[in-house]
Amino acid sequence: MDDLLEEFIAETRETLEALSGQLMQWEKSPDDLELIDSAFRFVHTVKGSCGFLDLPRLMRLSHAAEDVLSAAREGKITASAGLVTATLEVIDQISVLTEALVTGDAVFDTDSQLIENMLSYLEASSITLEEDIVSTDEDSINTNTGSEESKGVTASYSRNVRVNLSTLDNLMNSVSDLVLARNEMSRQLRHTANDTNISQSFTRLSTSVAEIRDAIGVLRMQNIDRLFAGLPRLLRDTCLELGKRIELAIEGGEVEIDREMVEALRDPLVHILRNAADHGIELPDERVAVGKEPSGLISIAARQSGNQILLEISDDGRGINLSKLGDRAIRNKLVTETEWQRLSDKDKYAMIFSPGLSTTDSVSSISGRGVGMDVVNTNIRRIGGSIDIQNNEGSGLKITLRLPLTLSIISGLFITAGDTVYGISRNSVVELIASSNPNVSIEHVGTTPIACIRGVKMPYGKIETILNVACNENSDVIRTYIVMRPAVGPDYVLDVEKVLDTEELVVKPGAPLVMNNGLYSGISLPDTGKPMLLLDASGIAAKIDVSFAKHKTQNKPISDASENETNKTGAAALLFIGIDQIKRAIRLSSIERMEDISVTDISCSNGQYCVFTAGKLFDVVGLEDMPVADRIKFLRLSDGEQVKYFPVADVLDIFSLPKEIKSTASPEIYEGLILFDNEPIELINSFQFFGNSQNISSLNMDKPMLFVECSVDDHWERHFLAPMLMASGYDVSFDVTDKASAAVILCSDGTPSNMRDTDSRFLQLRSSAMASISSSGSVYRYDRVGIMTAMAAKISRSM
Amino acid sequence: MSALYLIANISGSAVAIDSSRVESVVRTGEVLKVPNCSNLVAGLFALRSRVLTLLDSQFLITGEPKTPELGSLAVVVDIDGHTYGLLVDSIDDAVMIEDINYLPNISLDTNWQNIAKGVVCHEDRMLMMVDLERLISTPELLAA
Repeated sequence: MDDLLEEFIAETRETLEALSGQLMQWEKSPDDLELIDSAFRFVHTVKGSCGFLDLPRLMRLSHAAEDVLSAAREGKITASAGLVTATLEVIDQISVLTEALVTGDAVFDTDSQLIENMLSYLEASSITLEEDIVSTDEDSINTNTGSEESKGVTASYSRNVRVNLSTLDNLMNSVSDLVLARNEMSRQLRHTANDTNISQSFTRLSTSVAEIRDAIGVLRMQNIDRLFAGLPRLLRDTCLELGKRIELAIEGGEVEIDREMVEALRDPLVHILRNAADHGIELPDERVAVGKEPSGLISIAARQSGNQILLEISDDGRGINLSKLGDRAIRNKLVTETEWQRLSDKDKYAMIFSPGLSTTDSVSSISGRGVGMDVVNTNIRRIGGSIDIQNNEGSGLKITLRLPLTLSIISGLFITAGDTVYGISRNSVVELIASSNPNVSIEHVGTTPIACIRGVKMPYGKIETILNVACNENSDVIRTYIVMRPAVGPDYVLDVEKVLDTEELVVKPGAPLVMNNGLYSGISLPDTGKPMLLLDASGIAAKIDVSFAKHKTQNKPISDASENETNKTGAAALLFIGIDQIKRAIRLSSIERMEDISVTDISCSNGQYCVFTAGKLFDVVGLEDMPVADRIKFLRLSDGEQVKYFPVADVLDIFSLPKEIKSTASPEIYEGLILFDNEPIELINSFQFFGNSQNISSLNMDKPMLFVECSVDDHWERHFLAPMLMASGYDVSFDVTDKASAAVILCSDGTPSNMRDTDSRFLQLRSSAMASISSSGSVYRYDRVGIMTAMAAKISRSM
Repeated sequence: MSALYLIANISGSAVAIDSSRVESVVRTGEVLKVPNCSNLVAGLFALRSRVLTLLDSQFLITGEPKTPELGSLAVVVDIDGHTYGLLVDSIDDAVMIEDINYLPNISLDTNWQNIAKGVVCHEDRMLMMVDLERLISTPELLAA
């Protein structure tokens, strides 16, 4: 009996989920017979199951709904919007009751009322059509139930097997065992004599183990559709409440994400959607008044990009009114008026994530029901994601969530404290600094230590003190400061003995006894086979000093503002000593990280040097001869797609570029000359390293204005394209208001072609070196000569 | 109703553990200490691909934490969905006990109450019945 009940609950849940989208459709077109059919099938199945499971309330509800729907299918009554609402209420009640079967909760009995409400539609029409119904009613229901049964079976038939979650978990555990056993075996094999046969078999074994591991990983994945399934219904209810008309467009439902991620995303997504409906989309009259369609549009798009999932929620509502937001922030004492003036637009938008800031005047039941945007932000960051806001005042708001593919595998940083190795999630690490770096100092206010990094003061904590373990007594050892960014609260500095390595870690939940103290986020078993504790960034922050941290939060806008002021002069750059022992600088944004590489991993073919690291070969730029030292420091440069390695002798400092950069004779190699500590330093142009750099003389012109049209991800445009263009004597703007006056508009592959065709100022940069039909007239984006020639042609034509 | 019980020694006394709760008895590998944690937790150790929490049963009884050594005996049990290893000095036997009749007139001292629900007499041996749920619910009182 229990098995049957479980089966019934699982099936009902599944059908409900699948049905919710159709029910929305039904509301829009109440007389769509197909949709009525699916609703009918559902209640009919429920009714059938309830009969032998002895669930009288569900039975009554489904029976009544079946009657009404059957009459609607027969065309005896017209399915009006009111009928649909009444029926949906009954279906809701069925869902509530089903869930109650699981939890054992009592559900308030409003069944009769709901049923009466629904049946009233049946009666109302049956008065007018009384005679027809009386004669055919019973028969029609009976015949139909018969045929529907067979129809229902075919509809729900699919090639799936329902597997118990614990079976899946067991399988995953066994596979992890297998992987560990393989690692152990590979260690053993390395010590024993080299036998080709054995090592061949072992390689085969390894490959299939890897395949199995990948396959298991896929099993954990789920279509993101599951997350979206409930949204149309939610939006419908919200619309009814608010008196608005909103369409919902969903795309990318086939993107797959981790099962746990679906759960973690549900609340934030619901909140963002409610916010958009409540605050973003205007009432129909207002929309017409500003020349928009009366019904608003909210679109949700999911796509996978590398090991990230991008989730975009955009609406065509009124967007965020900055001055209104400012007023409110000032009134709520989150910032002072002068601070607000000094904040950049981006920081201003970020204010909507501050706790205690509501963006509407009235607290409606919609916005009051959920959580604030600050909690959304916290939740997203807790799962290792980030939020971007793109506001077009008056025409909408776009929120982009960037999320990791899975929760259970994190990119971890290994650190040591005492004699033990701990893990930290890379997501919460901002920067690593050696304690010997002259830009870092630890100061004491009373007894509280405070770290001062390049003039920015941050809370400081020493890992051994926090964990209460003995310190390795080696006073001359250079320790590492990690700038940590917890999900909530300000950044802080964690002083650790040593940073060892990074590795992908599978996070396992720890026993409550271990997790109680809040310092750990989980445990992991790296390939060494020895357990490891994962430190929780927020837990450590709390341990360091809550009051100090809180104090910092209040001051955050101020410190941000002052930081901005110093930053106003320009982007950050890295000062280093080149392999030719000359001090130079390079923009920080193009550097991914620094790596120490053994000289044996550097190879040379046809004059081009390559490094072998992390199992791949990468091009080396700026290396003329094979170095003599054993290990070489490399900067790993990336434009988002390509990766290049650039050798340096040593890294000195990070500083802000001044506004004035003196141009040099060869801008393609040196972007400019800057002063650092009264010493002229050449700023290397990262652009030259990508694509094939050639010697091109600079163009001398009267600074024509270029507008760069970019998508959300404008990393390449801002940090690679713009510096190159500016160094070549152009003014570059990303501001839409400059678009009309620009001489040339640069755009990427994504821009719709009809715009390109009508406006001769468009120049399309394509990301592949090969031209295709669709990209005719475009220029490869690292073809510097091509870009310059095409721009010059366009400029001369427009003059 | 008879059931099979595992007889183990903790801190010199014989205890009985319901064998249906016992997954296996293992020798621990290297034990990772967990800093800043209840003394009840002797550390973490890996059992194949799983990470188990090692419970220091001696600490519950004597208040003296035991330093786990490589290859200490641990009884693997599942409590509330998490797998633990219970440190024991030795394993004696597995016996069938017909009826659980707690000796009425014996009350355990407070420390033993942290771990056992009563004393039974089996073949002239006094055995303390280990209550696994009670094991992990007491540390709030004892947490360092």
